[in-house]
Amino acid sequence: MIAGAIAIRQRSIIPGFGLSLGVMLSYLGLIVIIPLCVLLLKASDAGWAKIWMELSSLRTLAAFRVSFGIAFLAAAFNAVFGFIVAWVLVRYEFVGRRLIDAMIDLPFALPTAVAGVSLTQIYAENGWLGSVLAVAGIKVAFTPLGILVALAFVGLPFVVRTVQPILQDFDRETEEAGALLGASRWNILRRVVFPPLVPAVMTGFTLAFARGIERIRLRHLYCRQYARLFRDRSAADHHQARAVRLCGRNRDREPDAGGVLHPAAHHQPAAGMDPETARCLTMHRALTRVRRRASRCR
Amino acid sequence: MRIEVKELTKQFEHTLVLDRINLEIQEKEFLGLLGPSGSGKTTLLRIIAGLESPDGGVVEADGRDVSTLGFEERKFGFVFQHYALFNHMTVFENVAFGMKVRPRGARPDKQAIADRVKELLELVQLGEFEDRFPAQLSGGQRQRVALARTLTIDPQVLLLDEPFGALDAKVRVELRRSLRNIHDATGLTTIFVTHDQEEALDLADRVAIMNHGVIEQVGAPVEVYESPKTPFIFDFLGHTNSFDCVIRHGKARLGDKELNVEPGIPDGPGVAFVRPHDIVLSRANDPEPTQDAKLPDTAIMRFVSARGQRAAVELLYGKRLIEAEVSRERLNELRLSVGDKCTIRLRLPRIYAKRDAEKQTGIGERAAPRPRFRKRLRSRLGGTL
Amino acid sequence: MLDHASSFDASPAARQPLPLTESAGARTLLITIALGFLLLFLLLPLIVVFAEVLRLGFDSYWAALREPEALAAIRLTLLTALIVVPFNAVFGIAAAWAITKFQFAGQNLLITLVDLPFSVSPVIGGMVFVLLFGLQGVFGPWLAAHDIKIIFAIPGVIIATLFVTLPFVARELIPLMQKQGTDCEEAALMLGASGWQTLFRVTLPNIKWGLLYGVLLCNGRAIGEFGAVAVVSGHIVGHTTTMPLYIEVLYNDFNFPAAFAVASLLTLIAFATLILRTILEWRAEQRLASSRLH
Repeated sequence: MIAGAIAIRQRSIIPGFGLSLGVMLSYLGLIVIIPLCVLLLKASDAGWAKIWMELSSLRTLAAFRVSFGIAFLAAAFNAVFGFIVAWVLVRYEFVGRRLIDAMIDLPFALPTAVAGVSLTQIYAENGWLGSVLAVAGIKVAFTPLGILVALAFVGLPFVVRTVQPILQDFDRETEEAGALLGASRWNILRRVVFPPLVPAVMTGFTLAFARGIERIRLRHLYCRQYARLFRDRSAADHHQARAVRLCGRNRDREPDAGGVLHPAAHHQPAAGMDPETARCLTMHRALTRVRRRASRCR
Repeated sequence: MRIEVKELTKQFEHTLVLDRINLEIQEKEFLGLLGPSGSGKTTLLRIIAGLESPDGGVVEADGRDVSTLGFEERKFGFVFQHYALFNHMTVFENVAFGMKVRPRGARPDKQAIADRVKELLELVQLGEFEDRFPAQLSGGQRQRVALARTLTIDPQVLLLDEPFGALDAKVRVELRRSLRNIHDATGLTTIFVTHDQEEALDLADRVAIMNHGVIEQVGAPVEVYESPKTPFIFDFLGHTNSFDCVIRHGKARLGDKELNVEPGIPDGPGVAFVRPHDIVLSRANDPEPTQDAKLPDTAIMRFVSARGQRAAVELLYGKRLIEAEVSRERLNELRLSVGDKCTIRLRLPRIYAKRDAEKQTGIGERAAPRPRFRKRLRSRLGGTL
Repeated sequence: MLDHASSFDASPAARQPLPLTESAGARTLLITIALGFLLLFLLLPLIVVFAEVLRLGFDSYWAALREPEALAAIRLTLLTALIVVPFNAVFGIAAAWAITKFQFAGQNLLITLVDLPFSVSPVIGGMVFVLLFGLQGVFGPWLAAHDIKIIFAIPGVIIATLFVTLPFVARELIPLMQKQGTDCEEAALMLGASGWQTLFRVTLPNIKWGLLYGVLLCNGRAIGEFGAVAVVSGHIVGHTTTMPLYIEVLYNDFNFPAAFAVASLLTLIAFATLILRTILEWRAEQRLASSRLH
């Protein structure tokens, strides 16, 4: 095939065609093409009918519906606010603009793990915002709302970065023409400026949406793997006990912490318990919920 | 070094870019490849340089097939249209590049390199610019660096692709002089490509005019300008006024004279091409006879634009416009001004067959491109195209 | 026409400026909304990470990082980056050279193939290798027979990361080299340089900012990759957990202090990557501006 490609191309003085194409194709072949082909083969092995059944089973569908719905909302949220952010960054001057512009890519640069961990921390019931919201009766962590927030973080750069270059290259003269023809600012925006930006916003939306779906699927998949790896209760118990031990270690007293913090027991932290333990308890309850969710994933 | 191009053919996708080109370039000659965009001149140059390879035919240097020669034996210097300077290197490093990349054994030492670079920069009058970067130079200066860089390798042939294309008119003229001086000083065989006929006619010892992948005429500038073989060449080299006539038995009647026609031009409808400065004006009722062909009717002066010493005059003759060029003095002499009637005489007209003229130039209907396969197709389908 | 003429002379009403931008009030509102949104959704997570770390105190922070498992995670992440980035950089250069310096059939197909890992979910990326090298995979039995472990072992982590970060350098270089064209390389070759000399003395210096940028992105992604590695690694703490995986493990274990400690490391790297990127972009802009002066 390489020889064929060499024959097909125009001969020129520049050397290295064979070498560069060879390196490229072998690398691609090993890492991308062959594995993906195997995936397709295996999928077809399992039988397309079976896959379809799997996909369409109610549970999966329900999961998908939830995923799609949440991802859609999150992407829409990002579309609106991302557009505003892009507008503000390109059109206005203010202190720290350059810095903030650089920060937009943070969700890209920041590993999901960090994002997830810190977002949970913020929105958990005793977290920074979570506690504020809890007063209003809004629960965020471990709810669809929480997923929404997480997806909003993750998809934030997409809309901004897609709209920004279009906005930057936008021909101001068309705006000036509109102004000279007597249009009001809002009319100019509505009829002249926004229409060309709609495709970019849609692209950003789609990217954020796809990313959101992927993240949810990741969660879904991870759930399954988690559940599979810790299928037997003993392993799960061990895991939980270990968590408790760590909590205990943080305190480094109350040697019978294991007994006190048995899952079935307390639902409320007893008054007088120090904050650390109280927090452990709350998180323990959260962990129980996670486990329950994991079993639901199956 | 003598270069011979034999039956060179190049096809790109479905277009025949070069159609059996034959050309000989003598030693120390300064040859210009002139033609409009798409004529194949740059492709020809690049094939001679070895940057591309032909589909058919061969390029020979001193009798040896160029494609078999290695770098050391060939050593063609090539100057790119956009200079292709190495932007991350200084002027000095750019010029020194050719010497620095020589294999260990053949590489001159640091001092020799420095001396040679300085020498070449002096030659192109950029002595003080050694430490500048290309981004800090003007277009003309970059051009000269590109030239110096090419001369480093002691080339036997110098090839230039539209060397002055991107420069201002004034800079262009200055660089033309420098290039000619360098050629005369070094005695290098030089081939350059241009679409600017003034440049080609000014600089070259010989000019090869190309159109649609074919060389239409090769000759000294004077010869090509005064005796263009085809209507295309005439039209390409300057303004054209065309006048219909009829060719009968090798003679054409134009105005009040019978003119001889070049052999090879068939009888039938013909057209006479006349340059603006060969249009002779006189007052309407001036009876002065000359050997120039006089047009029957009078023309009305429509517009005069005084361009320095020579004035461009636009005349309305019947329903068409004629462009003439007259010296200021003559215009004053004639005491002609806009709206006046005048007689037109044609000096040194060149006569061509009308069909050729229409096909090759914009005179009459639009000239269609001349791809070979269309002709074959047409003959096969019996003219239904 | 005359009406227009009169409205253009210096009467107070006519001196009202054209509506070329939004009113000051609207501007302020928009800026506030944008900044508020960013604060809430972008900066808060970061602030939290560092707040938690500060709350920890330096000793606990340091201790958390020096746990053997944490060190193993850090080592694995660094090892992965050290292997993946150079390989993908070389691939990127080769791919860009093949695609941009020559004309041949199938160029667009190759570009699509290069982009494939980028458009495919990383989870799929991981799964693909499980299917290939896992116990029930295509090569599973063969590998087991020769006692070679790829899945649930370090080689698997590296391969999965290779897959996911493959396009980054190539995607930066291909458009850049396409824009630069082949003139400089042809010039160098006409001056007698060999292919390798041309590559190192002419091409690489020309693309150095793009290359650095691509390497930076590749590095950032290699360090932070979660999905593909999660599928492939089996979360064997102390052995096949990279830093992102380890953070998750710590968090699920309740070990928030340690989780945030490791997270802060990753955040610092993310910051450093972003700052370097901004500097590179800024310098590239500057060079563009200065070359345009002529």
